[in-house]
Parts: sequence; structure tokens; C-alpha cells
Amino acid sequence: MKVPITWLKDYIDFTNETELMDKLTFAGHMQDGPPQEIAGTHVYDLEIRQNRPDCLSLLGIAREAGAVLNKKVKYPQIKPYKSQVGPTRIEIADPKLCYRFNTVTIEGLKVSESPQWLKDKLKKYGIKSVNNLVDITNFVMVEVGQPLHAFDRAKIKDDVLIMRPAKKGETLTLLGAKKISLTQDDLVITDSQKPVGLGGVMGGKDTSVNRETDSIILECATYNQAVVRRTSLRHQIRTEASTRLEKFLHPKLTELALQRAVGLILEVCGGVIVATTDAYPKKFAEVSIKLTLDRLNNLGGVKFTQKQVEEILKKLELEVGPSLNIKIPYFRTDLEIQEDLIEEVLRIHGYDDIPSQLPVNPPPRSIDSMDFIREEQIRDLYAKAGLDEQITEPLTNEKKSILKPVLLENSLNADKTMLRTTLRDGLLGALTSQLKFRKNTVKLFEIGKVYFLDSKGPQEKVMLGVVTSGVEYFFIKGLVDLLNDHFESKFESSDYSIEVIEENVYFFEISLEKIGNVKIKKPLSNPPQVIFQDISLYVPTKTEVGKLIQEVLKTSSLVSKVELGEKPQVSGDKKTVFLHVQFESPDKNLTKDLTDKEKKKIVTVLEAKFKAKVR
Amino acid sequence: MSFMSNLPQKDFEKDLESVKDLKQLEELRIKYLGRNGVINNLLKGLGKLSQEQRKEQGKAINVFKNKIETELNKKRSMVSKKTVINFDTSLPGTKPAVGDLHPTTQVIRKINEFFRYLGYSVYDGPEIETNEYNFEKLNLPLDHPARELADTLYIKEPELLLRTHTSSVEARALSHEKMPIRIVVPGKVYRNETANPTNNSMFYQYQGVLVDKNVSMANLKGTLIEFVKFLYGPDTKTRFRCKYYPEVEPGAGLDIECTFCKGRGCSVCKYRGYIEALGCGMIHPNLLKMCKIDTSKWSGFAFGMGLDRLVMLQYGISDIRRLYDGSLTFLD
Repeated sequence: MKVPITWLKDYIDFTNETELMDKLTFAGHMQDGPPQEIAGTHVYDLEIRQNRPDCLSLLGIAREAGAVLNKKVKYPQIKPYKSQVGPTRIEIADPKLCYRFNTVTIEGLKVSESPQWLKDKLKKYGIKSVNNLVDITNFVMVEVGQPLHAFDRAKIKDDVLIMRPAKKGETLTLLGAKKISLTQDDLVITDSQKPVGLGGVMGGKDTSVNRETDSIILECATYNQAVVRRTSLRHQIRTEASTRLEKFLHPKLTELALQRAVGLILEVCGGVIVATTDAYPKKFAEVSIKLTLDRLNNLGGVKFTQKQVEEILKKLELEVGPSLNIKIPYFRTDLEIQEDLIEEVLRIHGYDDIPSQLPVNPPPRSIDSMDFIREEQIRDLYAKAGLDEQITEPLTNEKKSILKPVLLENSLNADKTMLRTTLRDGLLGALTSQLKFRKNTVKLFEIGKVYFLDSKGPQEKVMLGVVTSGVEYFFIKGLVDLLNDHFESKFESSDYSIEVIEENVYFFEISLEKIGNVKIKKPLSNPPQVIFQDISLYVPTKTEVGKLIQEVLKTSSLVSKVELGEKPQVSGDKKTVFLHVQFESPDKNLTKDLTDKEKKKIVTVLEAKFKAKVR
Repeated sequence: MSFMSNLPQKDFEKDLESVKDLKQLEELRIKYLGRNGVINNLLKGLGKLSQEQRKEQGKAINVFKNKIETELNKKRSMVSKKTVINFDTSLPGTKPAVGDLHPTTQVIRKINEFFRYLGYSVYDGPEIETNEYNFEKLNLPLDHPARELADTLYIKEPELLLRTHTSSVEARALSHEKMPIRIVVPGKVYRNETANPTNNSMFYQYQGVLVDKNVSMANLKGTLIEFVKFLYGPDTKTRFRCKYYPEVEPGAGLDIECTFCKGRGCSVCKYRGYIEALGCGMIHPNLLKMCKIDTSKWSGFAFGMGLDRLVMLQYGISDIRRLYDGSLTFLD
């Protein structure tokens, strides 16, 4: 909300504008940037809270200023007009879409240039002067916060205005000449035949006033704010009117705005009232809220007395009844429950004066996400192992999904149409970027979710992905073994597959659903009960040595580790396998004799199952 | 009468001193401890002594033997360590490869550290959410502006969306956990935005929730001011002001003085002098009621912040898209 200081001073006395803006900032209306100098006054921009449309008016700002400065607001003199049955008729087709609709019909007025004072005011606020009539409606909108619109009565068929949903196929040319196609979700104002205004957003061009106009229907309405907001979004039109009418304005305002505007029109443009209308199907109830001092002090953390509270609430023009029964004035549509009033007391008293104190109760028992903790442990493990972490965006456009993808309904970006089913594309993209800066080796990992559809609907699960470049195959394979070493989980070769992207570039991903607790790594017992035995064999060339090693581990419970002493060498139809076998026993009876026997057993099994021969 | 003086201790010390390498050391060991060595010969000579003398001399020989063993071991480690360096030691060392964590992870860890200290658990929840947890239980009914299609990314499945804030996890925790609770939630959130240097359709938020007996605004303010000082330094100037969020009442915003201009106003703080660091407030009674929490017994506060701008400031990254497009490179 733009606040021209000299205009604001019409309604409230103050001298130090910087102090006022500071106070308003703390009270919930943040000053957005330094003031601008326009037409000889400072104009401040205040960020108004979404639930305070009353502050999209200078009178609303003056009320806030009055509360923080403890001063009375100087309201303009508004004289009610007499209601008068006349030729103009109005109708609200659906009371769920429009809560109140008022008009005043004036004949014999003269549309011309605005008086200087009016032009000056609008210039400070930033609205261009059009003519005295339009300028008065804009002036009242800024002053009171309620938009209104003047139709040229000569162009309204049958002197009738109807508020109804648009019909399919109807169009409307708006002020500014933009022509729009209407939908059944749009609320329009029509005459007896066609739409003449887009409800709450903008009037039509064909029925707008000009210098020839001598008779008008001045319209003012309270809308279902969601309808206005959606209409404005649908047609991508935001106006001073729609930014106000898409919020919760009280229907009482239509009456006040019309009274103020009619008074000014009769004074500036002349003319006489020939008809007034008021459709207000369901009166808004008055709101009262009971505030209890205990609740206020417990929640606020400040010790107020009842007298203090009453004084603060009175500054806000709230009506304080006995035992803190508070009657809420029409302009405060945001005040609904006791906690709303607690905020009012606190913010006018000053959030600065709330003390700072850490909670005193003992912390409750931990409900840590174990998944998160394991992810963190893997991050540490892999960083220690020399891999850099990446986080890539799950919104993507996969050419080939490995699972049924979850598609987006309304993405604005053509390259983000779905959620990823694999970490592969993100990590390979990262690898490509990294190779521009690093010539030799790149080792990257990511822990993040993939998303897919199954029979139960959309699912998400956490994956660990790794991509390496410039290191050998067994490095990336060893990273899975590292998980098995550090966690009580057993990832089998069927849980993942290492993909060869190109020479020396490898990728795998693995679901972390299976990951177990961190293993406690115990040091060797002292003196170490460990004996090493070497087994040197010939096996047929096609033998899978990994399976042979698994067999060794299975055959003897005393074997704790099997390593390759050297790389297998192929010669003819056989290859050499040199195993370095570690025997370990928890009891002290591990002897050379015992391990000799075990070794013999192992060799016998390998001879039988793998056609191995001792070298 | 002591027999120690009879033993060739001086000879051994002299011999030991002359040892230069492991070979000589082994020869010395054989000389004294071998089968026909000095010690064995001494032991053989015991037979000629009276029983009393034998006992005493035997003891002395044993002491001597232990001493020899200790000294030989000492010498062994000294001799074996004496390796000659005959290469250029000025060459640079070989660093072991150690990886780096993503800046966002690092910032999350730092913040977690603070809240864990105060007894908060790290909690998580789904990214594909329902209207119920993302909106309705957060006091955001259907007609609320925050629910406009334009901001929210919906998926092609009925009534499901990508969470627009980590508050959805707050609604889950309040609905399913036993009070009292203290949780923080770091996580990805999504908005339907056209990507630009300051906005991305995926970004990170950090949510905190505390529900307990007798929780007040003073507790909220105390917690968050301590947090901001932990994160930005003890001299950080803060501003605690009234602000509106539908999930809380009363609501507040915690701003920190702009570190770039020290409050004078610059492009980083959009000439406000302050940067909005956190949104917070006392959990709205509607929200507690919708999560079936007795408001006469429990109250609480919640806070939330975007993490990406913080990460960008700390790591000197000017474009949010770079954080998550795979181009962040740590050189070793």
C-alpha cells in the first residue's frame, strides 16, 4: 500500500514519519524500501498483511497509526444520502458469489477535468487523473478501501444491473480495450442483455463514462473474495480494485464508500440522485470475542493488567465491554478468535517488549527419523571414501523411465514434467559438468528420493546413487561392500547392478530401504586369535572367483575374511587363484593344526565344486 | 653376598653398544641367549653350588636374562628405525582423497546441531502430499489465497500435490505423535515457478515445532534469537516483529540486520536494512484442534525458514539453480 505522507496527515496528526513507519513495521505492516519523493511528499510503500484489507486504505493506515502513536483518527465528514426508489433495478443471481450490491443513480452531472486538489492527491498515490468522476471513485477507493465503479447510464440497457456468472461464449471488452472470453466461473455485471463489467476486477469499455456522460449508475459491491481472485488469475488482470476485493472486506463498506463518493460527486460534478438500490441478502452478524487475561499472559509471556489491556484495545477502536468482552468493529474482518486479540494487544504494546526466555520444561524423548540418521551416516562414510555429494532436482523430463513415473499436472516448465524415477540422469548430468573442471577422476554420490506409481498410487523411496569416472570398476563395487562392512545390512549383487556408461564411467543406485543399523566395529582381541593360511589353486578359466570366495566363507565358520593375494593369471584353459584366508576364533583354541584341518576341508570342497587343483 | 657381580653385565653392555644392524643384533642374541649361550652356561654352572647359593644365583641369572631380553628389544626397534632417507623430501605430499558434502547438507547439519542441543528430534515426511496435510490441517481452507493452483504443483493423481512447505510435516507430527514434542524438519519443497536466479521450482525449507505445557511467545523469541546468534554470530542485530501466517496466531517475523550494508540499505536487503530470516508464531488453535490436540492443556510454537538463500550467502553462490543442477564442483 502506497502511503503519501501529506495525504495521510489529513486523517492523523504526527510529525516524525520515520518513527511512525518503524512503529508500523513492528506492528505488522513492513516498510518496503526507502520512501519515494512524489509531487512534493514522501510516499512510503507498506507491505500489508494478507488478512488486513482494511489497511489497503489511508483511513485504515491512519487507524493503525493512531493505535501505535496513541492519537485519534480525524474521519472525513460523510453525510448519508436518502434512499430513493427510482428507475434503476438490480439483482444478485447467486448470493454465494456476491454478498452485497448497491447502486446510486445520478442525473444531470457534468464530467470534466478534476479540481487541482484531487489531481494532486491521486498523483501522489500513483493513479493517473482521467476526469472528475473517475477520479472521485479512485479517491474514495484509496481513502476508504472500497472500490466502486461508474457506468454511463445511457449505455446500460433497460437501466438494470445484474450480478451473475457469465455464460459460455460471452465476451467483454474491458477498459483499456482488452477483449476477453468469459467462462462460467467468471462473475460478471450485466445489463438486461450483455456483460458490462468483470465482477470485482474491471469495468467494460463500452459502458464507461466520458465527457459526454450526464447520467450515471454508480456501483459498489462486496464479493466472494475467492471468486474475484480466481477471475483475476484466470484472465491475468490485477487491478487496484481486484487486489482489494479478493480479500475479506466487510459489506458495511459499500454503504460508506457510496456515501463518500456521492457527496463528492454532487459537490464536484453536480447532478441529483434519482434512484438508490441495496441488495444485501444475508446480513453479516456482529462479532464479539471474550478475552481472558490469563490466556493472554500465558500465551504472550508478558504480564498485563486488565487496565493496560483495555487501554490498548481502545486505541484500536475496539469496543471494550465488561470483563473483556470485545465487540469487533466492521472494518476488522481479521479478528475472529481470542488469539487474534492476543496478537493485537502484543503488537500494539510492542513485540520488542516480549521477554526472551528459552523453554524451561525438560526435552521430550527423541523421535528422530532413523532413516534420516542413516542417510547422514552414509554421507559421512562416502565423503570419507573420497566422494563428493550432489543434490539434483527431482523435477525432470526423463526420456526413459525405469519405473512408471509420477507426472505433473500443471508445470510451467517444459523440461519439468515428471518426478524422477532414477538418480541416474541427475548424477550423469553432474558428472558432465564436473569434467569441465576436473580432468582426472570424479566420484559423486547423491542420496535422494525417486518417485513412481504402483498399484497403490504414487510412491517415494530413498535411493543412494553413485557415479565415478577415471577409477576402476572394483572401486565402485567396493563402495557397496563398504556399506555391508559398516551397516548391519546385506546388499546382495541382486540388489543393484553397476552400469557401464562408457569406458571408465560407472553408475549404480541402490535402495536404502534395506539399510540396517551401524555395525559396532570391535578391535582385534588381545592377543589376536588370528591365523592366516594361503591357498594356491588352478581353476578353469571361466570360474567366477567371487563365487569361489563365497564358498570358502560358507565352508568354514572359522574363516573371517578372504582376500585375493594376487590378480588371477590366465594360462591356457586354466587360471591361478591365490587366496589369503584369515581364520579367526573367539575362543583361544585356534591352532595351526586346527586351521590346517579347515584348510584341507576347504580345498576338498573347492576341488569338488569348482574343479580346482592345488598348485 | 651378592652374585650379581659375578655375571658378565659389563661385557653385555659393551657388546650391545657395538651393535649396528639387525644382523649383529641377532648374533648378540645367540651369544647370550642361544642354546650354548652365556645364560645357559651360567645355568649349567649352578649344579656346583650349595642349595642356598643355587637359589640366590639362579634368581640373579633370571634377572640378568630378563634385562638382556629387554635391552635387545629396545635396541631392535632403534636399529630397525634407522632407515636412510635418500629421496627428495621437498616434493609435495600425497593427500588422501576426501569428499565434500553439498553446501545445503552442511548448512542443515549446522542448524540441526543447534536444535538437537535444545532437545529437538529430526523428523521427516513425504514430499508427495495430500490437501489435508499440506493445506487443510494448516488452517488453509479451500478458498485461501495460498491454495491457488498457480503456486502449487499438482500431480496427475487425484487430490495429490508436491508439498509446498515443510509445514505439512508439522501437521503430520501433530496428528500422529504424542505431545510434548520438539521436532525440526529439513527438506525439499516445490512450487510452480519459472526458474530464475532467485527462484527455483524445488528448494529447501527448515521447519521447527515445539508443543508443551505453558509455552509462550517469550519462549519462541528466546529460542529463535539464540538460534540466530548461533548461526550468524553473537553480535547479530535482530528485529522481532508482528507478521501474518495462517498457521500461527499470534504470528511473528524475525529479521536480521543486513550483513552487507549493516542496516543502511542495499540491493541485497532490497533497501530495507534487514533480511527476513524466519517466519514464526504460536501454533494457531484451529491447527491444534484439527490435529486433535487439547488446547487447554497444550500450546506451542512453530517456525520456518528457507535454506537456499542462507546457503547461497554463506558459500558465495549467486544463482539458486546452480545449487541443484549438478554444477557445484569442489576442487581438491
